[in-house]
Formats: sequence, C-alpha cells, structure tokens
Amino acid sequence: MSFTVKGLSKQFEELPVIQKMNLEVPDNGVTTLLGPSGCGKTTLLRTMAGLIEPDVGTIEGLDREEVTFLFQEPRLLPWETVFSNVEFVLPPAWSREERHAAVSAILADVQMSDFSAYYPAELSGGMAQRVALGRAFVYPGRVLLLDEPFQGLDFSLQLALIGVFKRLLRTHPRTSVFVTHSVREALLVGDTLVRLSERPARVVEVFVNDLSPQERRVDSEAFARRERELYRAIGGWTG
Amino acid sequence: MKHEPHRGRDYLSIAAAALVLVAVWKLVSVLVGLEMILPSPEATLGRFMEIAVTPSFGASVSATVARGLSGFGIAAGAGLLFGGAAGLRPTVQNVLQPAVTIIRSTPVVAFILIALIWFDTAFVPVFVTVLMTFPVIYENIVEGIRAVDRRLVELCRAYRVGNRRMWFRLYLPSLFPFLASAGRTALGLTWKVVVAAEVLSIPELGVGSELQEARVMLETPRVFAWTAVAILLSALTDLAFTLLTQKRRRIMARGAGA
Repeated sequence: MSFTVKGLSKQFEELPVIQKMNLEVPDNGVTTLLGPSGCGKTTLLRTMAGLIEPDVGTIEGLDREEVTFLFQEPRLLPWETVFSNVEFVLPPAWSREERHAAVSAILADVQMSDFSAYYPAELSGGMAQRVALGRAFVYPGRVLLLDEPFQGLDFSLQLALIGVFKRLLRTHPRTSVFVTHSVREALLVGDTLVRLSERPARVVEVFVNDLSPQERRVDSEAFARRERELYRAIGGWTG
Repeated sequence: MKHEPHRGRDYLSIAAAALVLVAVWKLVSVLVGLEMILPSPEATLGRFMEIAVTPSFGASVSATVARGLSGFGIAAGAGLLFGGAAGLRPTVQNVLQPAVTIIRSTPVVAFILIALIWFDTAFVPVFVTVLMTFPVIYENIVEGIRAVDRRLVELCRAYRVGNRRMWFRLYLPSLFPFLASAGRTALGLTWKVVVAAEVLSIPELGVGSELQEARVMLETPRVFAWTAVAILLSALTDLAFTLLTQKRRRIMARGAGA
C-alpha cells in the first residue's frame, strides 16, 4: 500500500517540528527516515499512525485500519503472558482457533515459542522486543510503522532483531516506514532512504539503497564502502 | 535466600509483642483493682465466651455484618462509577470535587446525628458507612485511572483495540492495586463506622447496640468483650482480603525482584 504525505506541517506550542513535508512512500518496501535525534521524524511517524493530528497537510492513500506500529519500547501488558500480549491486538472478529493459530505461528517466527507462558518482567529487553515485533506482524495490516525499535539494545542484539525483522518481512510483506538516526541501521533495512534535515524536518534527499539484499550486512565490503560515503555526505550527527 | 511470601514479617516477635501487651493490661488491671474501671484480660475473655454462646450473639453480629457489607457495597459501586468517570474526564472530577471534599471532612458523629433525624434506626449505620467509605474508594479509583500507563493507552490506539477490551485488559488490571488498597482501607473503616453509628442509633440488633446496653448497665467486661467482637470482625475481613488478593500480587511481583 503506497501513500503520500502532502504539505504536512506540525508545531508544538511555538516550536515548528515538521514544515511543509512532502514524501512518497512506495508500496511494499522499507522506507527509512534517517535524521538526527529530535528532528521530528517520530512526530511524522505518529502523524502517519493517526496518533497525532497534523496542523496542515494530508496523508493520502493510507488506510489507518491497515497500520501497525512498533514503538521504541516493547510496551507489553505487565499482567499478561507473552501469548496474551500478542493475542491482545488481534481483531475481535477472529475465532478462538484462528487467534491461537496466528499467535503460535508468529511466536515461532520470532523464536519465542518456549516463552509463551512467561510474563514481561521475566524477559530480557531483547526478548520483550521480539514479542513486540511478533505483535506488530501478527496483526493483518499492510502498513508497518517502526519508531527506532531496536535503539535501546546492544549492537549484537540489534543485528539479531534486524535479521528477525527482515525474515518476517519475507513471509508477511508490509509497506514499512522505519525511523532511525543510525546510518548503519538505515542501510541495513532500507530499500528507500529518506534523509531528513534538522528540526523542523524537511526532506533533504531521497535515494534508493543500491546494495543487494546479500550485501546488506555489516561484514560485506560493499556495505562498509556505502556506509562511509553516506557518513561523509551527512556530516557529524549520526550514531 | 528469599523470605517468601511474607517478607520482613517475623511471626515469633509479633506473638511475643502481643503477649507483652496482654501482660501489661493484666498488670494495670491488678493495680486498678476494679473490674468496672478496667476488667482483666481473663474477665474479658470469660465474658466473651459467655456472650458468644447466647442466642442473640449470632443475630447481633450478622445484623452488623449485613449493615457493614451493604454500606460498603453501595459505596464501592458508587465509587467505581463516579471515580471511573472522574478519572477519565477532568470536568467530572471538578464537578464532584466540592461534594467529595465536604463528605470527607464531615465528622462521623455529625453524619450519624443527621441520619438519626432522617432515617429509621436500622438504616442509619448503612447510610453513614456509605458516606464515610465512598471518598476513600472514589479517590483511589481516580488516582488509579490517572496512573494507567499512557504508553499502553497509546498502544491500544495504534492497534485500534476496542473500548471493552481496553477496559478489561488495560484499565481494570492497572487499577487492581488501587482497588485492593481502597477496598482494604474502606472495609477497615466500615466496621468502626457501623459500630459507632449503632451505638448512637441503637437498632434492635447490632454490635454497637450491645456495646451501648453494656455501658448503660455499667458492665465494663461486657463492653470490652463486644469491643473484641468488633476488632475480630475487622481482623477477619482484613485476612479474607489478603487471601483474595494474594495470587494476583504474586503474579505482579514475579520477576520484579530479579
């Protein structure tokens, strides 16, 4: 499901956060919004999800019923098990059997089947985010918005979860918008890279990630070269 | 080594402290030397055993329990309803605020006296209990709803989770510790208020009516014995509450210490 951001502006109090943003999000790929911390990229994502109303401008072609959202934190219900937490977001019309089958399958996909009876407090940060990833993919929407979902984790866990994310995308295709301030992460997951300016956010440049899926890994030569070029182009702010 | 499930509670020293208390009571009663002023522990216990086997004992206690529970039940229902509305809508809270403040600040005897003018004696304790426990429940619910994690509410919005599911699986479980604490405090208050109201309204049956009758007859050991009944009522409901909420508290505490 492709959609278009048209002339979008948003300010909080006196502070303009997004200014006259125009953006095309293509169908079925991963679009990464790459920008410095506090530049307004999270606000843009929340506006897409309908969690924030824009001051002016529209988002065209996006059916909110199709949207799921992966937050920076896992946001699990502390009093429910892993299984119930995933089941929580499923549409009410689904039968008991359908829910059970869908949750079991997605927990297997994120390698959390053995923990389905665990409570969130018993999980590590990486495990909890796997559950959140499963919850985002179990919902039958065609659009997935991700707000720096792997930032709180250490590097090896980040890479592992990016791997899980890419695998899930192959079996459950989604039009994804992935917000990050990390050039590396943007190159690892993004098909289209959108560079945003400092606040208020504007689109600086849009380019297609020309690395092949095999090259999108930290140990590939082509990846390292591409990453260096991008760092030089951008300058200081990235992490 | 973890101390489960009652962390930091040493039953042996609590029991020892209770024994010391009884010993002090005994000592003072010997020094006073007058049963009418301060009955000894054994005289009180003896009186308690005597009244416990009289036919009217069960009737008096159940009358008090029935009044207490109906008062508490009405207050809990009203507290949930108004507290829920006030927690979700600040306007509702503003509208209710003066009434709640007045109810909370009014002395319990003032309510009893006003109720005596308005109602039948048997209903006075129920009415007063409702007024005294409602603010406790109401304020806990308001606070509990405010304490619901905004990020989880946002999650529900992002996934279009319906109101019904949100209420049962997000709001109610978040409210649980607040409900438990409100319930426990309000029930503890209930028995004190019911008995106080019965002492003044003197319905035909009731722990408070028995207290008043014993006082009028200057039967101090009986006053003490009926007081013990009121204390036992409070202790028993507190224990029941602890047992009822134990399983839930264990789930919530799981892994939290790790």
